[in-house]
Amino acid sequence: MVTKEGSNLFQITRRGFLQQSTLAGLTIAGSLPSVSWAVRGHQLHIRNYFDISSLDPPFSLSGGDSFIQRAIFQNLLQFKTDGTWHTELDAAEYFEAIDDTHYAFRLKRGQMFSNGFGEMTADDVKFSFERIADPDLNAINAIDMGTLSHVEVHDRYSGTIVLTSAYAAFVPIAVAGYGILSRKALASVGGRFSTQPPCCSGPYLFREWQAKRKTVLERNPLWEGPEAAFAEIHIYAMTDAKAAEMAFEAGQLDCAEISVESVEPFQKNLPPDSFLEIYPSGRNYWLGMNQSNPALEDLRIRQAIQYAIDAESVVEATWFGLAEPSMGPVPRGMLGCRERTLIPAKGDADKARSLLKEAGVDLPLRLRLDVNSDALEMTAVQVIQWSLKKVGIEVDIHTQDSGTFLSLGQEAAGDQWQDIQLFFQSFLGAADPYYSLVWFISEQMGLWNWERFSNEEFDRLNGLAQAASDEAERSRMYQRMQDIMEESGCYRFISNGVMPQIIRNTIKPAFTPDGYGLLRGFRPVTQQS
Amino acid sequence: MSSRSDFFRETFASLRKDPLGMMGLIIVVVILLSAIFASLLAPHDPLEVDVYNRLQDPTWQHLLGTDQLGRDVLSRVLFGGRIALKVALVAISVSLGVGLLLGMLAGFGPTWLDRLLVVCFDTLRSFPTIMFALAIVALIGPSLNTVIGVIIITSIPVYARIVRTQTQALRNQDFILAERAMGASTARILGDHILPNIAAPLLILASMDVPAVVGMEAGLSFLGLGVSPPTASWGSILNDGYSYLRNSPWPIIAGGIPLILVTLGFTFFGESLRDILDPKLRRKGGAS
Amino acid sequence: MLKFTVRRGLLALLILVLAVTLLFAMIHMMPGDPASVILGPKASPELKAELNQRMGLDKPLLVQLGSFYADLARGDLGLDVFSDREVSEIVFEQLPYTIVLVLAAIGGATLLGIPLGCFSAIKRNSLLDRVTAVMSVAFIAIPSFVVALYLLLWLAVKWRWFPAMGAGASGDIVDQARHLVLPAIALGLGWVGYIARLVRATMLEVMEENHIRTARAFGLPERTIIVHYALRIAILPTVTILGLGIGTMLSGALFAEIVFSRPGIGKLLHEAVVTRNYPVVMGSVLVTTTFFVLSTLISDIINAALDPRLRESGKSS
Repeated sequence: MVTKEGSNLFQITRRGFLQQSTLAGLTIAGSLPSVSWAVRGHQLHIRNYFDISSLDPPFSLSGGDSFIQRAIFQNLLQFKTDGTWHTELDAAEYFEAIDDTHYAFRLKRGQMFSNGFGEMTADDVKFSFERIADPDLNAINAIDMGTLSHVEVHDRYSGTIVLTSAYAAFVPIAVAGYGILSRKALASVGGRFSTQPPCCSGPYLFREWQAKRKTVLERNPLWEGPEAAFAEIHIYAMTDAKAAEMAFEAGQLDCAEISVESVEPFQKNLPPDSFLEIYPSGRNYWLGMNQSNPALEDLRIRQAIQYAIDAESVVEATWFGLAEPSMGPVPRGMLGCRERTLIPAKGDADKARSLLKEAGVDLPLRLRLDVNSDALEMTAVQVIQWSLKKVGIEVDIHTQDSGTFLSLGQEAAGDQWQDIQLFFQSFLGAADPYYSLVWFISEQMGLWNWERFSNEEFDRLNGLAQAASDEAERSRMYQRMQDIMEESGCYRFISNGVMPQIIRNTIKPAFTPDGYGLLRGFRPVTQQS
Repeated sequence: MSSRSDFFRETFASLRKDPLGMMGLIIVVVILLSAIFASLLAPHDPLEVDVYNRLQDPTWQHLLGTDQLGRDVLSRVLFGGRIALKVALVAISVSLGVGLLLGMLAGFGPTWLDRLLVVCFDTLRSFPTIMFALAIVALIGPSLNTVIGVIIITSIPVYARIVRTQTQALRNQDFILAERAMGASTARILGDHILPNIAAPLLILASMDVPAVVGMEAGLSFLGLGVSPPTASWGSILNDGYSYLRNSPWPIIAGGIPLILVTLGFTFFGESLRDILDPKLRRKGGAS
Repeated sequence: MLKFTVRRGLLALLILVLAVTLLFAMIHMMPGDPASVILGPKASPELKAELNQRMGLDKPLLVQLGSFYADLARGDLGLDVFSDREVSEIVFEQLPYTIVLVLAAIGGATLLGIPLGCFSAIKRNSLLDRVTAVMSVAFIAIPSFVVALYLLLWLAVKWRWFPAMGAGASGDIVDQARHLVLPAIALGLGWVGYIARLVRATMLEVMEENHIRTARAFGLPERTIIVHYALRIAILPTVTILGLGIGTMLSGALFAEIVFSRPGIGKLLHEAVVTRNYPVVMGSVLVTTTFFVLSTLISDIINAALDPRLRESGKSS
């Protein structure tokens, strides 16, 4: 389906993008494949990486939560099931940007919430958006709402979303990312919930949750459309890829992400009636350097490290040749992705050595490298260690459990942020490049900017790109920002990784460009060959 | 002096009659030698990364295959022996020494001290060992020294308890009472009389403890709490092998064999030694 | 006897309290905190402070310890940091898996070990005796996780005789039994040897005793002698050892649970430490330590009941 390279660049103006969504919304109804229910009991059994932490939008922690939320809630706009970040109308029958800070919407009529909470109205939209940004609720996802001010309700079905200032990522991140809940339903459970949604209106309804085991969804009887293709969906919370692979082989799962190292064994011994697909991933892996640490203050030393690391062999070892060295935090296929890196992927060991000589460093230079104790990241880090050894830098690897690792660069956790030198970081991006780069602004020092990277142009561009309306301009700005990051010497970008999936022949899956499944896009395959 | 060398010769002669004991001794010697001479015996640098040749089956170039980074498994196993050796030597000697001291104190000293020490020992022993290791490692960070420290802390109570029991048993014996009556100091009694009598069983215990200690380090390294990458310890080889089990079974096969050999070797040898020395000890115990 | 039991029981309680307090201190000294793990990149210092406050992590350690014990007295082990569920619920949800595994391991070890030890004693120095002796020693010494890995490699992944992971479909006893086989073998193999040797040694002692000789002299069949007299007595030390075994196995089960991806308290504990889920860590440790202390206590009491010499203070176990 989707190739390693990803699909077309997101290169349309914002108005154009919205229009396209509207048109797409109209064509969906037309082209349905005739479905035949060849799947076991009309059920889909699929793996999720994390168990639910919270299905309540203000508090959900992305990944495992949004995977389920996208199936049980409606958003004004939803991501299309074509493997791009394009959106289509979902709860709204009309959605238009009036200007930089105003978005008009009109809901479709007759969309009912489950559990008797009635029809979805514009007031529910107001409620859903405003509560996420409400300071009293102290929601972790409040920042995704950006510059949201309030939502004006004009009549039962229509309203206008008002921002205080332009926020380009508002539609992909906020509008397409968060579901609409019923005000009445939330009031009935005291204002918030965690694992039991009081109301759903999407193609599937939430039926039950077995802690650490699975979540079960069932088709929403009120849903008219092809998105509710299965009578039931069983979602298994499996953090361990091997367990998921075994379960797939045993016939218990129909679709699962597998670990990179299992791709080859699976290719040699494919389970019956299955196929393997390598999807792109929205994760971002890089080697960061703390420039405030005395050993790394000299730019030449940092550059030497950048040149010494052969990203190609790191990627070959870590992802078994299935991924490619990245262009930066913004992945291929997304607006703002660079076309080249400043330092070649292969690196340049000689240049590294001469930089070290120029800097007058006593070799061997001993540095500390912190990494999360994840098999994949540890492999990458050992290859990095070997490349650095060849230019005279001896690296001590410190593996940390995720709890310790995540607080390493945080000022709130103590003074340890001063001692970190090299570290291997990763995080999952979102549907907009803003989310890939905002963590590196000066304000983030002591939070997620462990490199203590601070560049005035970078900060300024971040602000401008956040508000810009012209996509081409945004793209230029984001590319320049990544160049600045590389020039600072604090970053060696490694890869965005891949998400290999193994799937039954009886299923036609759908994924977002960051490799997460879109349940409403999964269909059983027609019986005729 | 001659009685000592006679003693060794007699012991060795008895040992030769026991095939299992001899086998154990041979295994122990082979492992020790291979660990000490690892740098001579290893065909490759255990740390050399060769990404494009990863997870290969055994070839003439790599007799036990390669791991996920293309490193030679045989070389890593040989150098892993050094880690095992270091852990065993340091952990056992320190915990033995400290356990000896504390045990003698508890067994010989005042009752209140005994009670206090016993409660401390039992408290330490009531921890699930792994939990203790997890907590300490998270505090200090995973490293070989942390693992050795954890092993020492959890082993001291075991040695101490045994020393204590032996000391208590001896303390009321006639010859000890006689020494005390003659005014010998506690230290003298402990050093000259009690110590020699518990030395032999303790040493046998220590040698039988080697498999447990090596196994504990391997277990902790298997959980990722021991040596840091890229150091090769048998446990970390197994840990890597487990992650890539379906790609190649060789790291697991290769990592498990030395552990099995160490446990078999030291246990057979230790048991044999105990069988030989025990009747002798019973003879010696009364006199002195 | 009563005096001994009470004294021993109080000591056990003291040890338990000390152990849990020590662990509490250690967990809280660990760097890293749940807030970073839960909240991830979106965590601002204010949000983390709020979460810390909600979990009561900002109060001084003594206060936290005090409220932990106070809650404990009420049977409340606190709430899981990530899902807000009762820790007691989580722990007791996972505990049965470990207990089943431990029972299967001990059961298997006993079923194999006792007859082996018995026959070895009867047919002293025969081939069976010698082989059993060697294998017992071998099995006891090999680390259980190595056994687990080899079993996984050959019997599960290569030959597929047994499933490689999980506990089996709930409600399906046969499936669950199949999933138990390999982990139970890994956990119990050492104990087969241990029990066999113990039974052999005890039986040999007992068989020499006077009343057995008398029974023989009276012409009772050997078989009756063995089963009705010797074995009965020989089993007793085994039983006390088993009591000890259940306690130690709970933590030993961690490796089997990890290698075979089985749910259980060992796995729960490991995960909770990694994610700094303090309440779950405390809850699981409390439960496992209690089991251990209880099992030592019971085995000490049984031992003392059997052998009066042990009742004097300081000579337990």
